[in-house]
Amino acid sequence: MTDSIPITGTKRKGKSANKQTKFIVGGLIVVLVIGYLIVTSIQGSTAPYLTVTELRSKGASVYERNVRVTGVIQGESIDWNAQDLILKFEIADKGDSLPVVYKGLRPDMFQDGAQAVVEGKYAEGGTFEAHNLMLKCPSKYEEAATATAQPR
Amino acid sequence: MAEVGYGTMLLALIVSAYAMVAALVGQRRGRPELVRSAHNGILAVAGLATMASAILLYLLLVPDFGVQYVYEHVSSHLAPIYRISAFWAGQEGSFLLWLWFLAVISALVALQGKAWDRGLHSHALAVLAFCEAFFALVIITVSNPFAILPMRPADGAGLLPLLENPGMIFHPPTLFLGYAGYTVPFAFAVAALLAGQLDDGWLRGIRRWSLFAWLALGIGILLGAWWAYVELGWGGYWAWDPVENASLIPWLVGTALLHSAMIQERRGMFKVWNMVLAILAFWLCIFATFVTRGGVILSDLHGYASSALPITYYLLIFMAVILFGPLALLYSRRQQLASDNEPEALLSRESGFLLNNLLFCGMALAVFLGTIFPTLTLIARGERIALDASFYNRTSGPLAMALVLLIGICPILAWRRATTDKLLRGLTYQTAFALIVAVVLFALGIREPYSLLSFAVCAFVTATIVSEFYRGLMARRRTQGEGYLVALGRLVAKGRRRYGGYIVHLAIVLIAVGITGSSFYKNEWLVSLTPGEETTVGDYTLKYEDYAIEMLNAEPETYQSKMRFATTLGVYKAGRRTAALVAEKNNHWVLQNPWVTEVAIRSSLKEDLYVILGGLERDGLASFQLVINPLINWLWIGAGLLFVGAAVAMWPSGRGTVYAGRAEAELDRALGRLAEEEAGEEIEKKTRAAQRKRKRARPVEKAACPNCGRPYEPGDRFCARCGHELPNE
Repeated sequence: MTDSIPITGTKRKGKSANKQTKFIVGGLIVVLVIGYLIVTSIQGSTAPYLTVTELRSKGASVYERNVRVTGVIQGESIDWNAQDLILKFEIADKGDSLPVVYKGLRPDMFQDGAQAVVEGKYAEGGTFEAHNLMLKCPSKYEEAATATAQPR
Repeated sequence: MAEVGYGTMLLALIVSAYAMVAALVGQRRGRPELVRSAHNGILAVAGLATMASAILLYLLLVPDFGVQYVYEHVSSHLAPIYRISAFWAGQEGSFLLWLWFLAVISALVALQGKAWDRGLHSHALAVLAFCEAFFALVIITVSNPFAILPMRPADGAGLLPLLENPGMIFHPPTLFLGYAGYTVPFAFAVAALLAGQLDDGWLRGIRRWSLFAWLALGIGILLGAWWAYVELGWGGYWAWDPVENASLIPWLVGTALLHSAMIQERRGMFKVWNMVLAILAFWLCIFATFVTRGGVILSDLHGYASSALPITYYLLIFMAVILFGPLALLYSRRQQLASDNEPEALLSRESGFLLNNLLFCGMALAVFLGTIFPTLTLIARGERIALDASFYNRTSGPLAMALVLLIGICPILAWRRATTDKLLRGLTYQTAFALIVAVVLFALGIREPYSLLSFAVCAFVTATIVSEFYRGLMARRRTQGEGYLVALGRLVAKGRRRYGGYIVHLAIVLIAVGITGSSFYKNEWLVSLTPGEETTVGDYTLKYEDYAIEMLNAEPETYQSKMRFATTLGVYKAGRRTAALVAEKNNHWVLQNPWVTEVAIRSSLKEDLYVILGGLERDGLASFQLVINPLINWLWIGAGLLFVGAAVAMWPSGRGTVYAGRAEAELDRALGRLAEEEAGEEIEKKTRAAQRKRKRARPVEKAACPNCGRPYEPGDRFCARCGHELPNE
């Protein structure tokens, strides 16, 4: 049975177009909210990842910012106060070294030659106050190659 | 022996490559004997992979230190159980394990032939064979567990002490089982595209495989978190490390697939969504291995490799093929994937599921972006900029909370069109309960707004799940007149998918409670004690009672040789001694990084008291990090319940999804979620579909050409292949 009255026909067509737009708009809103959430969270969570040399060259511009610095731990500089739980040491990279102060337990992998990533603030006196100390767990394969187990 | 192992892998490559070609050619050119031989090829590959795995296991157990992999991961000090788990301690063994799982799964799929449409099945076998061939290729070229050392050493290096832990026995295999499992939905999605069979067939058939892969992956992730918690010794269970994230992302997409599939089954919608989700879930599993082994995306915690290795290129090429190929196919067939029904109202179960898809994919996207962010900035700006945990917490937190809330609301939503007052009426008790819980918690001192909101949402959702069971129970009693226990038992037994799903939802809520408690209310203290000293943390008084320094496993020197530094702490609660905790920090001097911490934990439902030994001097002066983790054990309890719920949902009922769908429609009608006439319509449709399926299961044998054996249609006079005259009538 064909409906030849144009008004009803147009209304029907308009209704389904409306339904589709509702969903597209709804879906788009959800997508935009998620996107907004992601973008704003990125802005609040980046910590530039610098080497000691780069940190030194940036100097005053990073003074109040939360940054991460990577370098190799210098064994002779390690000062571990077990009573007060304060760890002082230096990390170095291509000749530049950086004194670091960290309040907390001495991590398992902390030793001369280990690659460390310290996160915190670069104080004006030139010392780095770290609130987070991460050490790179080396490759299992590098380790196997340099393992000191001696075949007898 | 090792050479034999290598040989089986070489053979596996050849056979699987053959099976792929045979299945494709056989199906498309109408040569069933080729398909048959492809089928046998898949079974053969399973046999070969099993042989190779048995050989590696044998080499590990002997142990044969002449084999490089054995030397790298086993030592004579190692307990037998860890010689077995050494199988998956390294990359080469892990790939073999993955291939073995994939081969066995493919063989099972091959044996399921009768349950599937032939075109779909053969194409799926071809895809599975293709994936097997890839893994075999990687194993024999760049990741060979059977490589032999030029000189046989007297002892092996041994297992890294961090891996000597029950968690490490189960976490990797479960994870790989999940990864291998997701090959099946992928294979059938691609098969559906290749064969042009774009109705629901592929989706219905993979339901149990999807659930199985989802469960394995989920439990694998939770086991990893548990292992990190008890073994890595930093007081936490999730660090948003790239390797961790990489396993989570496919699970999120897989969860979306599980739910979205239901909408295609009931309403013929979301067809393109489901194809894309199935393809993505598998791609993300390969991406996960790319993150872990590829050396491009670096992890702060797990530094497996730091530059592109040969395997990186293999993985990149494979990832490109399995992503762009199917997506291109999908695009070319998009007309045939048009929905049977249009979504009708913004407030309906369909839109609830659409929102579900968007939220899960949004969360997966956020975690994915966070994981590749440093690589992106390296390419764009020349320096790696990492995103810390706060990025993930700020994105995943709200999205996860929204998802948990959706768990509570969605089952109450009616199909097609839900009315707001019906919705609100259905939720009054639950909302009231949530408000009461929030007030009580506030009175008890819980003031942090996000955690209050989270607990309130969890209470709300728990109430909705309980009320779902209650309503279903009452509906059964009304229509069947059974006793309470019988009704409950039958309710779950007849609606395994639905009620198993509700149990899983409850498990997720428990996990959410555990995560909320331990994230917001964790407390840490750093103390330094001499023997005999006491300290108080939370409700506990800890007395440093004793310490020991001794050497163990000294000869021969392996990874298991260690200098043991141990402290014993007595734990007192309200004056009574409730436990003795032994916290250790051992020096495995053979290792490049010798210090390994063994934490001590005192667990209760309320919280964990977690003790980390920072350092022990010769005179007994010890430094400790003490952590109290509230509600953390609800995480592990939730994990167990997750397993139970998924097992119920997976339990075969012997009648298939069509009958399950009909039973669900009947239940929805009794619950008032489906209008009378629509329910009648759906039940009619399902009954007809069931009858058709029964008919299809009885195969109609086609007549074959007497000369070459090619099947022909009635009415043909000459064979299309050899031209021989065909007998007719």
